[in-house]
Amino acid sequence: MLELFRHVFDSNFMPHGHCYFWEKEILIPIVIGDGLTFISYMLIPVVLWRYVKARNDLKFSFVFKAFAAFIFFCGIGHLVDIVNIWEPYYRVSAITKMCTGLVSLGTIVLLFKFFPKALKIGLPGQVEQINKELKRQNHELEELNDFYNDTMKTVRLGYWHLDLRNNELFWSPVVYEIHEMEPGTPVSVESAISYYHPDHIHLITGVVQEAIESGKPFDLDLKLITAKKNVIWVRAIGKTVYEKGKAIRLKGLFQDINESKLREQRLLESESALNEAETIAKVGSWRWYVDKDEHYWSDERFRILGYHPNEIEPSLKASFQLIHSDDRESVQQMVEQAIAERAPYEIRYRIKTKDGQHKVLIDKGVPSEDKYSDETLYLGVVRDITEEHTRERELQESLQALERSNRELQDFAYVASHDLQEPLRVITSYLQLLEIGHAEKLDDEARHFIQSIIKASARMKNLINDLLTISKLDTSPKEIEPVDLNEVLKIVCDNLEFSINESDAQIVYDNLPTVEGDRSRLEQLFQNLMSNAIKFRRHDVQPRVEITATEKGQKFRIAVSDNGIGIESKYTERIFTIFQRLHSRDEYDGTGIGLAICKKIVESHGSTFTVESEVGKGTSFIFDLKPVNK
Amino acid sequence: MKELHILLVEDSPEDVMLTKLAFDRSKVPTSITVAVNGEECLAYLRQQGEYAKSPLPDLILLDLNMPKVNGKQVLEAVKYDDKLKHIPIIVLTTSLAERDIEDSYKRHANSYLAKPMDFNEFIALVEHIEQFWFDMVKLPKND
Repeated sequence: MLELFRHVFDSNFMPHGHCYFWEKEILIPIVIGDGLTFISYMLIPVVLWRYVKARNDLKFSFVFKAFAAFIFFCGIGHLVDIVNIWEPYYRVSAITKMCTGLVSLGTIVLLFKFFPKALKIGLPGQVEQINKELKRQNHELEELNDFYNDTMKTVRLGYWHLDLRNNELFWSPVVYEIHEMEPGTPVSVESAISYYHPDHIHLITGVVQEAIESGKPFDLDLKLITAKKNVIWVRAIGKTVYEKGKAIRLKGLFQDINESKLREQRLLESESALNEAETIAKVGSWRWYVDKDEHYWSDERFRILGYHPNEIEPSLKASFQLIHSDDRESVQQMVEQAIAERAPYEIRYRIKTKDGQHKVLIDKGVPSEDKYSDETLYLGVVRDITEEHTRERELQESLQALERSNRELQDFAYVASHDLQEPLRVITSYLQLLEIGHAEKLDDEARHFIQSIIKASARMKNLINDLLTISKLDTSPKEIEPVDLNEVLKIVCDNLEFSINESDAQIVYDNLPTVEGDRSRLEQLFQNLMSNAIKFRRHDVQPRVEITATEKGQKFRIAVSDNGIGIESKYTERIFTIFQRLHSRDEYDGTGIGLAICKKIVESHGSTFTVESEVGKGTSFIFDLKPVNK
Repeated sequence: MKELHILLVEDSPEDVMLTKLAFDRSKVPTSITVAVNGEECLAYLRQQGEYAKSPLPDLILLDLNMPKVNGKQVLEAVKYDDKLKHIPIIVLTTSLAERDIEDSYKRHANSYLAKPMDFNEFIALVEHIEQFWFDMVKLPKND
């Protein structure tokens, strides 16, 4: 074999042309045919090569390459055939043929291996089919894409990515829309961040930095100021994309969540307002789905029981357990009965809270219908009425104490009327006996003393009687009836007949109304006022007492006026006070209780009692009485 | 004229004396037995113990305000006792309380009189009592 290569270009043979006897009609077609074949065989591999290069998607390019090599060697064989006509390089021819054979063998081996795969390559019809299918799929994809885009627009959800190698930021159209910017406007990372609200810039910067450095994904609700200066809430989501362990990209979503955020905030606000209101009012609320036995309690409901919100599982058992053992059974019964009848209930009971505090609660429940099912639902409120309860009890106690003291006062008044008068009567009587039976043994001075004691005793008796009257006003009930004031005055004038005649007083009244009141008290009132008017008369004029009634709104304004001595204005308040007297006993007799009695009577008829007076001219006492209800 | 027997139920000795003085001045002859409280009064009327032989009075003058058994209790006891309820009882007291007046009549007091403050008036009252109860009124016979 080595021999072959050592003498490759030895040409000591007979050239091939001799075989054709140098006959031109044979030589020329052979040379032309081999030449054309050679040129063509040289061009085919070039074309194939370029085809393979251009179509880098070709799956079986090695087949083309092997075929190109085979054609190339065939072409070389034809060239050597031409040369061999004149120069017999038969060794070259041998090598060429050997090479062509080897390449042919390789090619056919490859072709055999390729054959089953080649069979799978579709026929032109199949390809068309596939093409159609692909177009259809493409169309579907486009539709899906449109749908996807519409959806993204509707839910205002966009996506973005940031190439960390060149810092290029991409926004989907919705992201632009959310920013209220023209889609496609170039944005840098810095300007993108600058759209966030000043309060939130540090947040977004922080999470982006962290995502780049440590690959931590983020998901934040942030405030954004749009290009048109609207402040809105957005949700920014992002994560890091790695390639060969290196962070190359950040990608994520971006959503306008303004409406839901505002709704959520409003809901939170109203919820917290409700919670606050419940806390202030010490009212907790609850819902009870009776059939499922599910309970929902407001925060305050927990707090009233001494628990932190959600510290215990709300249940009927939990509620009952805290109820005072004396109340528990009856409460349970009442609730059960109400539920059975689907009736509302209102129960008051005592509890001992988690921390041992005693409280009084009022628990109201009303049946309602669950909107979403036909189940029985009870809605209710629990109020902590411990303070009211305590106050109520204290009030009750003080009321009882007041009633007791009132009774005691009544008893006192009774005792005073009897026991205080008894000795007085004895004193007076024995003094009279002394005066009558032993007059001759007494001198003038002694008789004078006796008279003084008798007078003082009489005053004492008046005082006791007046005190009794005033205490009766406080303790005995009024008897309200229609009272004709004309009749009252007639009786009073009869009672005062003596002093009226004695003082020659003129009593003036005409056509007085019928009012609503306690007859005997009104008699007492007018009697006191009129006897006062006569008592405090001026001695230089004929006493005159006038009683008038004028309609004033829903009432009658009554005035009892005289032309007496009058009262100095600085004393007008004092005269109504018990035991307050403006005159010495020598001038005018009296206990100092009369006007206090009048004031009490007037006030017990629902009116104020006023006085108008001018010294030396006269006095008017003024009060209102109600007309009879028709 | 037959002497009239009065049972005076009165705890105050001063009042006993005043009453006796007032009756002394009157024209009708009276004998007055004094019981100083309700208990003694009832013992007398029921002729218990030392009073076994004592005669029943023609009239009882009764004070209300007394220790132990008070006037109202005496009224109740006498007026519900078949043997005693015929005896007229005049309540003679200082009290003008409506409660006392009402309570007394409810317990069948025959009349209710307030003791006057003035002794002269008291004498007049006693005269009226005598006139009415001993002159005008026909009383049952006590045996």
